[in-house]
Amino acid sequence: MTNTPPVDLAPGPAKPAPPEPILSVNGLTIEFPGRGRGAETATVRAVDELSFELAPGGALGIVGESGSGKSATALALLGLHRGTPARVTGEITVDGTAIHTATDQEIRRLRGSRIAMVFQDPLSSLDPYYSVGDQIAEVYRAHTGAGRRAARDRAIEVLDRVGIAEAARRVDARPHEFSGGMRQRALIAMALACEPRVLVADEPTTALDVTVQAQILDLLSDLRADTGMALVLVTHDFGVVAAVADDVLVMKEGRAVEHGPATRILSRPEAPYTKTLISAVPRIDTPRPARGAPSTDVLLRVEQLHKHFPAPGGFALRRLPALRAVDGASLEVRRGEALGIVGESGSGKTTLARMMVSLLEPTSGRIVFDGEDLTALPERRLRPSRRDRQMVFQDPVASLNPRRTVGESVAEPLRAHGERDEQSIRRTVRQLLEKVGLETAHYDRFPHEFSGGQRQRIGIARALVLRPKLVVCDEPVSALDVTTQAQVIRLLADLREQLGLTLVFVSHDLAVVRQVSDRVVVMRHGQVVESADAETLYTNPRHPYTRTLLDAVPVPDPVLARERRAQRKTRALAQQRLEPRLT
Amino acid sequence: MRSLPMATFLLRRLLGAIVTLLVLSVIVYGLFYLLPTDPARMICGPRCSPQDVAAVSRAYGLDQPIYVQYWHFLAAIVAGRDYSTGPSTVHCGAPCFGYSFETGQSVDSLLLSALPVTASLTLGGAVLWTTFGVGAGIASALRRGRLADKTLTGLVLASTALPPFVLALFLILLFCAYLQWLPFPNYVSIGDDPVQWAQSLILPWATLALLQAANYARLTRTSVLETLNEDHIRTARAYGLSERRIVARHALRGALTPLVSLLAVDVGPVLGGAVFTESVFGLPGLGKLLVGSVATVDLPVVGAVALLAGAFVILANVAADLLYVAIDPRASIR
Repeated sequence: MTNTPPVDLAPGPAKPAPPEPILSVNGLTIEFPGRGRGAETATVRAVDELSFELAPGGALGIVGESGSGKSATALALLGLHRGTPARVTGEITVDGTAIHTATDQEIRRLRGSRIAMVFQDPLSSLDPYYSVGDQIAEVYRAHTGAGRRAARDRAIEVLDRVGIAEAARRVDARPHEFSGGMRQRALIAMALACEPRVLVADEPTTALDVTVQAQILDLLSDLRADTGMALVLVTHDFGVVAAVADDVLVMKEGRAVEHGPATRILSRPEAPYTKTLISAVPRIDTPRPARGAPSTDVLLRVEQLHKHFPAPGGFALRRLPALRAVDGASLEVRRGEALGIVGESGSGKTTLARMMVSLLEPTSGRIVFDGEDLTALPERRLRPSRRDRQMVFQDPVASLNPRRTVGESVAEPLRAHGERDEQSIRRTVRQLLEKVGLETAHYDRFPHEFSGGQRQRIGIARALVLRPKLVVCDEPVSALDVTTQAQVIRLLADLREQLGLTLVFVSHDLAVVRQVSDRVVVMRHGQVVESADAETLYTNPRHPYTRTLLDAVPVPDPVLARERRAQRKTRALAQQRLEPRLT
Repeated sequence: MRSLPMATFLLRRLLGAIVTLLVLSVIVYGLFYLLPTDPARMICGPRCSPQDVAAVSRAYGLDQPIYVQYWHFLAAIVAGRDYSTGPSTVHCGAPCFGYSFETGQSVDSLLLSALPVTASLTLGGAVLWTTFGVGAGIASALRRGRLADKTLTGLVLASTALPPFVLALFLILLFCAYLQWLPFPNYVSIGDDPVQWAQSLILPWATLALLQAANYARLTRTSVLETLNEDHIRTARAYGLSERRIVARHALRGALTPLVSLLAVDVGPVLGGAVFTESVFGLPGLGKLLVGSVATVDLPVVGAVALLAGAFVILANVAADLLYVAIDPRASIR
């Protein structure tokens, strides 16, 4: 089954009279009033004179970095800015209804029945107090006036359609009893309940693991082909767009930068911004330029490491099994190398990373750093070695104290390790701020004055201030936009070169890991599944799980994406349906 | 996340409750001995001869070492106790808390007559304060920033700031003395005359309600506003559900869950004696009993009321936990 649209829908200048668009947006402008009442709080123009159309059954990907106005646009398509301070002007027509002039009543009847929306976080997007089936049935009844029984049957039907196994039994489950992927399927089922003509999906897979993401994207493509509904997909990820969309609209600061067929834009972008954006996307199929001869000197060795967290319940008559976050993992980090650790959520990669820098104590197993068995040392003797092992955290906002100047945050490890000379502290920190691409004057500023990428630079500076030998980065770029991501990755590479650092790079993103690492370790269920040098692992994976992971990574190339979808399908058929992973 | 079976949970909480009450009883019993008065003399009265005091002391077991007495005190609660006063023996049945020093009445009967009064006051008050508090909270959340919201918020603040006895006296003056809509409060048991019972409790209920409703209004307002900002409310809107349905079915359900637990926790201490309210209105409940017996150093009564109040607080907390689990599908018993 392919998702090639019927011939008369294919865009092209030669075709006579194109079909009436199912969705048209003309001169859409969205403004948010500034906070507070001061004269200087200007309104923010999130979307600026945006226009586009979508043919019935078409699929448009709206791509942009954070703050580009893509989500505000998506919400406007359903009139969801009504009742908020946002000011929306311009024209939006959905299936013949003018959103900008319709009454609240008309809008309500339209939502969910002719245009439906799927959101990013499927857990918070469902009401925790009602069963999934109830929520779907409620929507169906609101629009069709069907009876309870019929609505329930419909809920089971759509849940089954989106691939929830045993839908008739699961219909009564509450959202928290579903895995992440199943929740997103449930939300899509809710969208399907009334057979809408347009489905708007706002970052529908951003919160999901890569294998689950591939399943959801495949599902969206199938549904579109089966039902003929049009799809608007809002995302930051060109790989996701390539997998699903026919047309692409690239947004920057509220404006359309480029708009055209996906195949053309992804292979031959015209606008400079699109070019930068696409070239910043780490590609899983591009090898990293080769480095010097690999070192064989082991800096850190992890042997049969376990970390078990006691099961919730405390005092219980019968013990529940402990959560084995890390379950017998062994690996080596060689001096001067960059080791990538990849895995999906729950694979134990973060727990392992934290044990490497002694932020967590292992349940059993050994960690040998620079020839010293850390697990045998008492805390007092561990301290000098802590200096040598530092960590960069994922969330640059949460990991900096908002009430402290960034200079003080960076200086804190120095003070903690006994440095008392104020002059020298300030000098060291300032030099370091410059080294990570900030200015010395930034010493006295507070974290909220910086962008996400800058904050991550501050986090890196803090990790480097003690001149460590090993820096463990836990998802250091996951919270960043692609262009910023590329800059931070480059910074890490440069610093590593200059300072002779050894780097451990933990990430769920296989493409990013490929760009960074000399060697790669794949983790699953707390164990190391495969480890090899990066080239071998990406071109010739040996473990089936590694292969599944690699197959699932979206590539920013529509043709390749289609091929891989077909591959996944045959493989899935061959080995039955993959059980949705519990996360 | 797995949850414990209900029986295990209840057993655990019961054990916890017993330990807590034992600790409390030690403290209460300790009071008997920290006070410089001789209980036997107090029981016997000011004009007793030393022989009489000694006899009382023997009869009540007050001549024995403290741990033996404590043991008797505990045993009496569980199994009852016999007091022999010379020729005759008085049996005090199973939860036996002894006899009032002051009046000689059995503490059990004092508790039994005071408890229904306090229970009437608390339960009626709780119904009123929840209705007013939650109602006002929802109303001001849905009219956020408008005049109604600001007025309600102001009223709530004012009623929290009022000392309870001032509020009570004000109500009595207004409704009984000035407007004369109600008789001066004089408690009548519900069994005797339900109408008079209700009449006598209206003002105490209102006082309790005004004092507590403020908290509930504030919490409800915050909680409803928070819930209305949640993602699943946006989903409900995006799927064309009516605003009334969104508020009634999706927002309130989530917003009011924490309040149920709060209510259970709040009812406990009030059951143990709404001291101010009962005293001002002259209601013969546990609070008034407590105040009276503290004034006369009537230790058996003080101790019994304290233990009972403690038990209510513990029970209320267990009830709060159970209610929370019953209401929130994600919660599990720990």
